[in-house]
Amino acid sequence: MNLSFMIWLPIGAAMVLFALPWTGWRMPRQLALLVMMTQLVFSICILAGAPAYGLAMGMEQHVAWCPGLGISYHLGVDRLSAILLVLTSLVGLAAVSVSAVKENARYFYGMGLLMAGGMSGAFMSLDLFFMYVFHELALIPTFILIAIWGAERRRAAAMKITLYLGLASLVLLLGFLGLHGAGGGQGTFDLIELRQRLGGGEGLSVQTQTVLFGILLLGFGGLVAVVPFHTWAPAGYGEAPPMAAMLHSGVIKKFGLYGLFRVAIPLLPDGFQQWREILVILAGMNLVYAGYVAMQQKDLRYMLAYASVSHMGYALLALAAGGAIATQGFILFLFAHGVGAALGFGVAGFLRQRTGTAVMGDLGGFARQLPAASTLLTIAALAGFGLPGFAGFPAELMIFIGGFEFSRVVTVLAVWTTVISAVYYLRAVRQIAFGPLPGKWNALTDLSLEPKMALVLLVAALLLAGICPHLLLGDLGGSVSIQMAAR
Amino acid sequence: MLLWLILLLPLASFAVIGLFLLNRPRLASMVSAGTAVTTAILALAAIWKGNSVEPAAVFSWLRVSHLRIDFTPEWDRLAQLMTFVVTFVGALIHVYSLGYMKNDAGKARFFAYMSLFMFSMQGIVLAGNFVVMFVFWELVGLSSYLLIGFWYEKPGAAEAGKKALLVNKLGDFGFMVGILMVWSIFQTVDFQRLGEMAWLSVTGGNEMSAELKSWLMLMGLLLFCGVAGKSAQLPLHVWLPDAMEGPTPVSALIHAATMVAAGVYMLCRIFFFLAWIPDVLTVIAWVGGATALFAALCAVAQDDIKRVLAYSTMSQLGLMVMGVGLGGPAPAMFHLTTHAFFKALLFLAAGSVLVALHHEQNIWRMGGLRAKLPVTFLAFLAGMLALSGVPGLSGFFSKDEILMVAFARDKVLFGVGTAVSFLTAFYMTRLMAAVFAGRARSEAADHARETPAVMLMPLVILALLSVAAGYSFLGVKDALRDFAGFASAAQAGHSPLAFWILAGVPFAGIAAGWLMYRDVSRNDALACRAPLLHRLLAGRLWFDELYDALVRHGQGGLTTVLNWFDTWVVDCCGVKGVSLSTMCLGNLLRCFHSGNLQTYLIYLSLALVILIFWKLALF
Repeated sequence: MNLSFMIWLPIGAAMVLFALPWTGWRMPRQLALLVMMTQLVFSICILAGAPAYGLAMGMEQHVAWCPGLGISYHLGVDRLSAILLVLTSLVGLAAVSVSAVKENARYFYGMGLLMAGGMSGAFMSLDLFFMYVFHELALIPTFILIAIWGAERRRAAAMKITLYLGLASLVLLLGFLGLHGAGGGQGTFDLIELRQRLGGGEGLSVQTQTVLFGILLLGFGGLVAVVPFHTWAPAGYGEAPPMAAMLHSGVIKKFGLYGLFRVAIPLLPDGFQQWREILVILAGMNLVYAGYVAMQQKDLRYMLAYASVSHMGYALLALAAGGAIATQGFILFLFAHGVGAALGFGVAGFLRQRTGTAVMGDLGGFARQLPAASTLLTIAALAGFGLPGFAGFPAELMIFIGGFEFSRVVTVLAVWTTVISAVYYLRAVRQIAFGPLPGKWNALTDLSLEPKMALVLLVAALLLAGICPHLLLGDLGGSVSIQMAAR
Repeated sequence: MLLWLILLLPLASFAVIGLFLLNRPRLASMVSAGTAVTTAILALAAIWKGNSVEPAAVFSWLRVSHLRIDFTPEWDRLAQLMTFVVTFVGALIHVYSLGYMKNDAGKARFFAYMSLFMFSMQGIVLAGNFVVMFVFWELVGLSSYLLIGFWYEKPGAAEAGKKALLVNKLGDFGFMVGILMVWSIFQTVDFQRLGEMAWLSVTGGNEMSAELKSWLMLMGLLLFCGVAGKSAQLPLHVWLPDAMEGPTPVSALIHAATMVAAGVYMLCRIFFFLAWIPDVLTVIAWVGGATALFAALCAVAQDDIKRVLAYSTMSQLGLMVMGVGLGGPAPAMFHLTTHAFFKALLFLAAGSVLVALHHEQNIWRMGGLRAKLPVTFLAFLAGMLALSGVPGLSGFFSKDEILMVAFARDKVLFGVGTAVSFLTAFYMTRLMAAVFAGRARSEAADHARETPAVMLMPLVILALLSVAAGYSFLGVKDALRDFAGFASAAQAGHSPLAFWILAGVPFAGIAAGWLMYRDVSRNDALACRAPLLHRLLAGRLWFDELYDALVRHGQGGLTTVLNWFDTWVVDCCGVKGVSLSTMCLGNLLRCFHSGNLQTYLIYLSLALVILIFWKLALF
């Protein structure tokens, strides 16, 4: 299977949209939907053929591009990448179908396609240069989408998120350049090559590793909204159009975690050991601090944003803990959180489209008037606090089990976070779906068929991955050696 | 196969109703009730086969490294007995609901949730390891949440559902951490494998180190947190009385007969395991005893018919928990079974009263219903006598077993149990007197008519069971005979003194109640004679107020401070500070970020051109 297809189909389609003078909104939207559906089918095929995580990469493509600088167009997938590809196309499909933008529609949907194509590329690249470029290709449209199609305070939000993530990317670039030089001999950006060079005995000194890991942690961590570098998330997601919020929180934000896992930890194992304690403290901060701040939010989108920041702590805990069980939990968590966050922001975006507000106190009693949206909101809430049956539960369970060996305190805080999450999610459901319906919302209409189907697809994915996690993770049988098995 | 059918049929019913039948309430109710009855019949067949039922297929859920979590249906005597209670009472209550929910707008949704509940509850019963039990544990919490908040437009119901799930979640926090400790100590969560280990370490005579002992103690207490949440034990009991906001069949099935008893079931399931940590058992016994007494006292001063029964349920659950804590899981299970029958009966009879009275729940606005609702009255009477522990009825036998163990082990707890028995008879007599005796005290009570047969039939069956379930020919007690722990109860032996005390106390309670509430007026006699005591009990010792204050000032204060910190310190000073210091950079960036798409595209193509040029130049 040709992996390039997953990148260039959406990017090509985006170029077509930018180039053609379509003024209507239907055609661009249909085209984007069609591309996303194709992507979904292809990504599932790739998942079926991908080797389990920890073995070699499959379906590799390798084209020397700039040998002088050690840059090559190198793609390959394993289960982890393939799961993230499925996530990208699933969330992309849902994100396009809940959107109903009519002004400059071709640019809007083109941006969405760029994001999907860029992220597919970032998750498949085995070359740090291309990984970086593809991620930027996905990131920049987020800023544009917020600045142009966002809510009332879009300017300030776009400014903040651009500054923040721009800086984080810059730091990341610095780190990548450091890795490029660190391999010795002629520099290379190739991940596999770097792994062989750095992993083989006479790797880097502990000090160099520590510095490089710190830089990468700052860069990737900024992209993941690690406390205290998280305030871009509520502003950005609060004001973003639903498509951008869904794609960014669901997919693009995962890049930071993916990078730490794929690049930083395997290449700099000694550096990781030095930073491990700090990583686990950061995990605890994210979980509890952001969780309690989420409780105080009045606006559903801001609440979801803080929830998303808080739940990043689970992934950080898994990274810090290492070991086979936490690693599988981490992989499943990326998927579960991505789909769940997209579902939440999808419903929140829909509610705001219909009512013009997402302030929870102004809504209420929607269960009778908007049964489908209310049901989906309830499901997003239940999945959000890790109810068994949804994908989050096995993921968190594995993280708890793996984490408990490493840091009892932070793991107990992580379990406590499920209670914190239940408090704010159930309050949101109580305020929005239950209670009497205020008179002003008597004329609201429910989700139309197409976005409903797309969101139900997300629910189905959550259930499927929650009931049969092995469909995603592959049969692990217990014999797979995990490279980051940490002592 | 049979076991999987028993488990999965209700789930199928839930899915079918949820996906296709939400607009066809009649069909939905038939599907759900039909499934419940079929499941009950299948369950009887499986119990008939007993241990010779063919081993069920294994569903392996998680297998990573040495973590293996499989779902293999457990089918020992304990599971069989509980399956019988769940499916049988469940089926009767489904049939009853056909009448009770007949004209409700959300009937299809109601039956979908009921099926979901039956699935989740059966899952707990069949669970063979801690994680699977936790999974279904949370799912029954979910179905309880959905059913309590079934009339979601009523703010009271919506709040009560939320409260129930949150309090349960609090208990589950402890449960989850307990499971993590089990895993980290034993590297397995499977009941059977743990059982083998327990056996080894007891017979091997290995002395436990003090550290391990304290870890085990902590682990046992954490696991008990889950029980306290689900079975409404102190201090996590506050959700159960509020849960009465749900429809009455829900109160009967979930908040009296089955779900709330799941905590006791789990204690029995892991009793082998708790038995090596005697200190934990002592704590459990005292928590149970305290809950039993506290709830019985509260029940004396409630004015709402369902709340009286809710506190009574809590009190009886306390007795069962106390029984397990005293080393008697078999008596506890016995009482769980008889209690499921007579408490479901009482709730269903109360539901029948409510239907007849158009949902008037205040017992002081009832009265004189004995003649108007004869069948309901007789059923209620049977339930009341069984609950009070009048000799000859099922409640007497099972409560007797628990208190006999208490008599042998701990005289103080025996005293508590006796006091609870007295209070139970007392408040039930009060309830009977207020509801059925005297003259009608409201218009609704005056015009009450007996409810339809579809609701009365389950009442009659349950009434017969409530009377007879204690006798050995029904086999409930025999079912427990080869179940671990029964021996210890038998060892306790029957003390004639205790027997006569237990036989006499219910009559004393009934007599006291009758003396006090013989002449019912619109007010509570207790409120007139001892207003301070009445206020204390009616206020339920102000647990809810205390928790409200804790949440408002503790959690509320914390979140307010953190939110303030986040907005003004992290965001403003930190972020704005940084951005000010990099003002130049910001301005520079702003020039580039024109927000104009074409400009961005130009940058992009420029970058590409530079890159390509660079690459070419290198050659």
